[in-house]
Amino acid sequence: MYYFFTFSGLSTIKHTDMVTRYTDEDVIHGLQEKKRSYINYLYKEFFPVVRSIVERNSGTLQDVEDVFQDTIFVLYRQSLSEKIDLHCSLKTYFYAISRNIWLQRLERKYRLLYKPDFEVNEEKARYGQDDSDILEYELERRRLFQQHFFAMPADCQELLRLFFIKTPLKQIASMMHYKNTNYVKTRKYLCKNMLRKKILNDPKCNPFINYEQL
Amino acid sequence: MNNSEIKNDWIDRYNENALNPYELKRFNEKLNRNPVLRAEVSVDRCLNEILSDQDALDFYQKIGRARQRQKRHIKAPPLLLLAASIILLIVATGLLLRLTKVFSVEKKTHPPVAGMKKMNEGTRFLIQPNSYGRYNGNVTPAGRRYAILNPQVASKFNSLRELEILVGGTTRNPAFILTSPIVRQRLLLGSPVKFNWESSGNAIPVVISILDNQGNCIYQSTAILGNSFLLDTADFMKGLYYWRITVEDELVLVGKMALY
Repeated sequence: MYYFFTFSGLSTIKHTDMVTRYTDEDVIHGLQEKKRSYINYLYKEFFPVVRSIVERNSGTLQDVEDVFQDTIFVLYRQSLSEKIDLHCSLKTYFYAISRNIWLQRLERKYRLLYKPDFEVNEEKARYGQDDSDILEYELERRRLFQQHFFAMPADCQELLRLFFIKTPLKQIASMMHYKNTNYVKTRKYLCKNMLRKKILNDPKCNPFINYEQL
Repeated sequence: MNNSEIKNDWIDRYNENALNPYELKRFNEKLNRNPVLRAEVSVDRCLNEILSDQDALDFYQKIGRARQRQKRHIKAPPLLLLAASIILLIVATGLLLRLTKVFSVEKKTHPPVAGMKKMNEGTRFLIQPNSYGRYNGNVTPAGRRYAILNPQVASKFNSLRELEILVGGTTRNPAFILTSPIVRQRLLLGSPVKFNWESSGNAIPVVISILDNQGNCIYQSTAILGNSFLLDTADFMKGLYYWRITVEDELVLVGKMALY
């Protein structure tokens, strides 16, 4: 065991074969604090694991990246709520989450694809979803909607963020250099409308849009 | 405020439960009739939920950055880029040096069209094509033909003006008469050249020198007291050579031979 200075300060690192290796506890702790170095470490070390699951089960590289992102997010949320009770290595745990997400996704996409002919499968798939703590559907919806949010102009992103953390309109106007609070409201409507339209026009988002009675 | 803004306002306010009873009634009527409006309302609800979760937004932003970084990493690892740059630099430097060397050699061996002044300084005419693509200058027709066929050795057949004017069959020592070879000769490389001469009276010491087309002496015999000498050209290179015969340090005869 050696001590190294990392971005996060002094931490315990196992140093083998010139590759920085964090312990599982370090990674979970680092994730809780959203530290960049730990996210990069996860990408470097665990990405091949997810790739092997997804590509072996008729997934593309894009699917691998999406499942990997969703798995990190699940791990992050579980680390915050202290749901993680590791009886195995973090890699095994990560593998299990990503496998769960990918199988659910496959099932959902399969069900959607063959919906008219396979009514029975729909029930089975729904059962499969309820059985799990992880809602793959919500993860994908969140990721896709957020992608559209991050693709918006920077001022719109900033304005919506400020609005949703309940910043007073007057303060938003002064921070964003808008002339008055009315303009803040108008701008917020315009930005949100733009975001809604983008989502409604994206075919990837279509399965997550509800046209039925609310 | 136009209709579109009113609608936006109403969608937001509907999801924030901020519509008054009249507006709510009208909006519900619209909702019942219009599936697109229902879709917009449902998307707006999801967005409210997602945008309220600032922590998740921050985390996804960080994941996105890490994803971009990894993509860049996969595309071109920095060490690989560095190695490629170094190799490119070495190759470019090597090429530059080589080109510089070639140009400097060309400058030395191929001066511009020589004028009289330069000729006096020992500059040679070159077998080079003129603007019509023809070879001219003080070269023999055979040399010209050869130069056209073998441009890489053409410069070896350039004549040396200083020696060219001395080439001739007239002996400068009446006691020495050369019978062979002829003063201008064309031979195949490796052919022997037999020098035969007659001398009136006592045997005289004869020295035969061979010069290349730059005027450098490449071979000199010892003083020959006989009447013949055999020169082997097997070790020579293709090109134009001059031979010079001296008797008791006195130039007697100059001839030339082109070895092809």
